Amino acid sequence: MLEFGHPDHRRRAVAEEAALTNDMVIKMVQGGLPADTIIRTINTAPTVNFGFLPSDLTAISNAKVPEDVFKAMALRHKTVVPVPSAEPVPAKSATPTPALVSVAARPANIERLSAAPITAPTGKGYAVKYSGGSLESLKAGEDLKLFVASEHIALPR
Amino acid sequence: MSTLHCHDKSDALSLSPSSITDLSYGQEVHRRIGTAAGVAVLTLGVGAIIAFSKSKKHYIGITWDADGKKGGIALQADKNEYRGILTALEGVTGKKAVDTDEDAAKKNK
Repeated sequence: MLEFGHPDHRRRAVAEEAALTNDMVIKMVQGGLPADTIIRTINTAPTVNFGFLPSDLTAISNAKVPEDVFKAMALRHKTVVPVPSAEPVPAKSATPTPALVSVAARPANIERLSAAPITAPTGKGYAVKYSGGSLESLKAGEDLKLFVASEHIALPR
Repeated sequence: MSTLHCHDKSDALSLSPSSITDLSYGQEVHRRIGTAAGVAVLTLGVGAIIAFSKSKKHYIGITWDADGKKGGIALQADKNEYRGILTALEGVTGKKAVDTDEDAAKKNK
């Protein structure tokens, strides 16, 4: 029997076709699945392809997707867990592997976007200018770095 | 538990995501008249092209209520980074950023 393409490529193609999307999550919410189950599904899905455009956010909001589920979606945004090899590997741990591989075709700015929620405050951060507000110790126009992490939002001096 | 440190030596601001009450986004569009005038001294054509081009400034607003201490800031972000910042903030806070320009346009209709 003829087979086309490298086996790894075929497995990756199948994995990407089966990527978890916003619609699938919304269907799970509307189907009454518990938030924990949905989050576990998001965290363990081999591939995800979530969208966060304004229309996507509106659909998520209208579907009353729980906050924790939305956070899990944002953390897994457009990341791909390496496709497992054909040979079965004995499971070492019940927790999913933390090693996430970015989708290759993604533009550079989107790369940072997906990594942002899991960036520690000690990471690179976003270059921003303070334009005014409650912080009297800062002057408008002052260059700062904004760090966004799941437990911390910081503007170091 | 919410935390807020505005006068820390190392951090100008440090917040827990749960203390964020609102996120907003807006942009300011203006023509590059000043730049165009300078360039027009050298080449009139290029100066005219620049005069008709627009530049945008992207602003992100963050308001918080940390154990009763309320406040807010406006940050100007790079055009290539503001979407990433918004998504990151929306992701960790669970709040949806309000487009203030869109709101203003609706009110003007």
